[in-house]
Amino acid sequence: MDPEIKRSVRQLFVKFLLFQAVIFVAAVALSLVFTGYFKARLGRQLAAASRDSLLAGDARHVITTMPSSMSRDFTGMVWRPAGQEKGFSVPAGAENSSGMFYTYSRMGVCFDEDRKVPAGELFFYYPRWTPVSWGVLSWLVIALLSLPVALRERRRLIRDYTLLLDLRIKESYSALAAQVAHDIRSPLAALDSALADFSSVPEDRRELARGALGRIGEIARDLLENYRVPGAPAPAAKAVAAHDLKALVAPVIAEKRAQYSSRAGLAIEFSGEDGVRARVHPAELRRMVSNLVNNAVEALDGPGRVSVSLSRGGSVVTLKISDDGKGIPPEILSKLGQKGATHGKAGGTGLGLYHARSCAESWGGSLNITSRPGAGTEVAIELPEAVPQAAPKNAVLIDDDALVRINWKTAARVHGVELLVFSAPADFLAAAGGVPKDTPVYIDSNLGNGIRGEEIAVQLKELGFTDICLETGHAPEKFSAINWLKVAGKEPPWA
Amino acid sequence: MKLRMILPALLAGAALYSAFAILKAPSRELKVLMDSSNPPSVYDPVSLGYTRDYFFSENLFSPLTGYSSGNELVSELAEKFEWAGGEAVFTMRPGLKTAGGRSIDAFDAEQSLKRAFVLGGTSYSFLGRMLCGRGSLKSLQDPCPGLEVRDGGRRLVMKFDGPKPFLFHLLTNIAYAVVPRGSVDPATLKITDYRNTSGPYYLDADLGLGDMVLKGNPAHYRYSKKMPRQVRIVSLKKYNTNEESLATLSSGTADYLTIGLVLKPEDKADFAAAHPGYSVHFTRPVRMIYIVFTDRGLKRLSREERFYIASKLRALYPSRRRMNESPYQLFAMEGALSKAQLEDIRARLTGGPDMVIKKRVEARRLYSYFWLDLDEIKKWLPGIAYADTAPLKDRKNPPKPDFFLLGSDIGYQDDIGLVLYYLGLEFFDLSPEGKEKWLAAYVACPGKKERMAMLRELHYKTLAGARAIPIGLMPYASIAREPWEFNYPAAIAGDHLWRLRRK
Repeated sequence: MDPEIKRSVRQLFVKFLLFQAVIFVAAVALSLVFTGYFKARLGRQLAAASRDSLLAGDARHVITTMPSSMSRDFTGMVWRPAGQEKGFSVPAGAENSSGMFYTYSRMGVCFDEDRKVPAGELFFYYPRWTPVSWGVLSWLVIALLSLPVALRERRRLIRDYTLLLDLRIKESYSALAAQVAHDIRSPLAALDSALADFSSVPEDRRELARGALGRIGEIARDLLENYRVPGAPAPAAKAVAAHDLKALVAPVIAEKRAQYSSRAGLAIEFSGEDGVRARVHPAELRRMVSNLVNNAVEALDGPGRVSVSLSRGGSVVTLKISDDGKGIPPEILSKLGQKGATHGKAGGTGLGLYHARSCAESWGGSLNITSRPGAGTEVAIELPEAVPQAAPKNAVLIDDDALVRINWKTAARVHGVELLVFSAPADFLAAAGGVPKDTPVYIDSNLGNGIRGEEIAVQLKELGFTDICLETGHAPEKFSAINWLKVAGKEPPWA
Repeated sequence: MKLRMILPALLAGAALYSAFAILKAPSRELKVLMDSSNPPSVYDPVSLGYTRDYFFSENLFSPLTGYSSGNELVSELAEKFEWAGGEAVFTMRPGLKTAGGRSIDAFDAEQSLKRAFVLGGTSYSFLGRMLCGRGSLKSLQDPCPGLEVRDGGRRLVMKFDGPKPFLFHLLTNIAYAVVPRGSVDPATLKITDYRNTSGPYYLDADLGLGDMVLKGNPAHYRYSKKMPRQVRIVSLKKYNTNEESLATLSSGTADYLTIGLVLKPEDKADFAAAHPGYSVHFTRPVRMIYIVFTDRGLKRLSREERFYIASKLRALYPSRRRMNESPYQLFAMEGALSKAQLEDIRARLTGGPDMVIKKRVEARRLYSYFWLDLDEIKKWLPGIAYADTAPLKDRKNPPKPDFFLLGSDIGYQDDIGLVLYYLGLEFFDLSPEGKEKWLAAYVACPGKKERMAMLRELHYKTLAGARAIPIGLMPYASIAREPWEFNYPAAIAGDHLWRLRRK
């Protein structure tokens, strides 16, 4: 156990003991006080009941009636008349009760109505230690009742402390992840842009490098997402947009071929039509294809073939990953795609297929698995086809980050978009008069120096611009107060 | 502003305030209506009969012991009362003085007892014989060896053969009040001086025809600045109805009606409810009304007829008295019947057949209690005769009654006091010799339990023989105009004016 937790538990134990000590003293003291009080009250009643007989000299009456009156409340009674040596006691010898074991309630009896002339005193004896035992018993009951509470507090303390430690660790991870992600993104964007000019490098190698860079970027985003500071707002929803699937899948296949190049007899084939588009999240699609290819390769015991095809029919786009491996028994097949269900992989978590099915369904499609034992398995992902949209001719970017601006410029050049780039909103506002009002304007949500992108967006809206979009890493809900404002990621929209 | 400029205004204000306070302050005088025009000389603690006798004695004289407002045995003139073996030792309060400044000591207490033994009847003879021997005292000079004054008058000692637990209770009775020696004529033993009394009040002025002025004795231990310091006794010069007596409150003639006037407690309660500014004190139901059949009645009427007469009167009595209870026994506490005995008496009083008693039956005080029901009574007792309303000249030698009705206080008394009171009446089914014998055996019983058993048997014999049968039971009530409020004991009937407190 952590020493700090041990110390806290020890402190809790000491507090518990102190509390019990206080309760013990209070219980014993209250028992003594209340017993004394009630014995005195009872004694007063008995004294009042026997007073007239005592004063009238009817000791016989008192002696015969007192035992039943005292019942179990008192062990004896002694009457000592004022100024006289000899009184009497009930039972005889009660006055010799040991002070060690017995105490008494003392009642004065007076002759007169004003209680000024004493006639004598009555002593009602009762066991001295009985109230203490009652006090101890009361304390024991309280202690027994409070013990589960103390144990529960101990458990809570340990749990809270563990949670606190976890939180601290997570916070430090978050800080580290944020730092890494932040520091890695700009160089990645620069590298990505630079790759476009590396004409001497073969195209397939460049694509491979670009794909690897993309994956590193995704890792950086995942770091941010998975280790975000507890309580921090969730990142922007993963942007789903229409993409050319072949452009997304081909680099993954190239990567897989490179990955498994050392495996003899393994062929990874890819065939796909151009211009097959669907609304997907690129990174998720790449991860999905990567996982499914991995699964297919692992289903092959030796040499074999993995085929990836991309086709369209009607309004549906179909991505198939098939292998000629050992296949999956029917009883397993029906469970695959559920969380935790796996087959044929030592240490498999079943998350790959589950992720693929979840993604496909979230994009409005479906995932189907067909398999024949000994003949192979085919995973077919069907997605609604997206009608391609023409890229705008002109666009405006306002961003204070130089790397972002370079990245966007490169992407614009590739897609034939004439992009006007501004580092500060004032520069654009100065030139805004010559820009058509339907030109798409992309604004960084945080423009530095406390300038917020949404405020600039409002100004531009007032100037008449109709297509304004914030490029941000925040969730779109953050800007939901401005209902006409579009929200997108930091990536160029034409990628 | 200089002081001398505002001083006259301040003085005038203080004077006005004082005058206002004096005018607003309630009077220290209390006007008490009394149903008697007797002179004070008729009142004597050894001669008690009517509530007015008790009223006068209880306010002008104090006994050695008494009861508190909480019904506890407490000291009165005797500061201490203790048993030392067979001796009852009474230590007199120091500094006791009459209003005239005479000291009251144990010699006064001794003479009062001897005087009571000389003048008194059955109740005194019992204690007299115990203290003074079997021969009855004839004069104050006769020796009484059981009485001794010690320490120069500080202590009175009564000598017995052992402790008598009933004694201190017995001496609470106002009949044993102390009458200072100088206030008694040594020859006639009559009280001649009502100024030097032992009670909280003394007679300040006799205005004649029963009107008197009593004043509080500042030297008395009961004296308080909050009690009525002057009592004006306004006597009734004629017979008053209850309404007329209550009207004296409204008219301002009286501030206070004793328990003896307007005996029906409901009338006082209704008056106080209808007239704000009055307070009423009710005792517990201790006023017993009973029918007592005389020896003549026992001979002339069968037991069934006696039970029938009693049961019919019991049925009539509550009809106009909502505070009435109808008990089946005379003593509900000490001497109470066993459950079986009580059931027996209840059956006799409720289960008999209807009858018409055609004998001539002489009744005494029937009219006082049933004047509105006489026609009803005559339906089943057509031969009823009552001398109560006969012209005075015809009442000189009234015929001996077959029964009489009686109302008396059965309130808190120790058993000996209770027994002595009823033995004094023609009440228990005992001959004079039987009374003496029974009382001697009763007193000889050392334990109260045994005495109670004896009293219960006598009680049952009296009821089962239809000698005396309870008719009704109700509280006593006193009414006072505010600002006076009551601090009276609930179980004891009486008008102890020194217990009144000004609000």
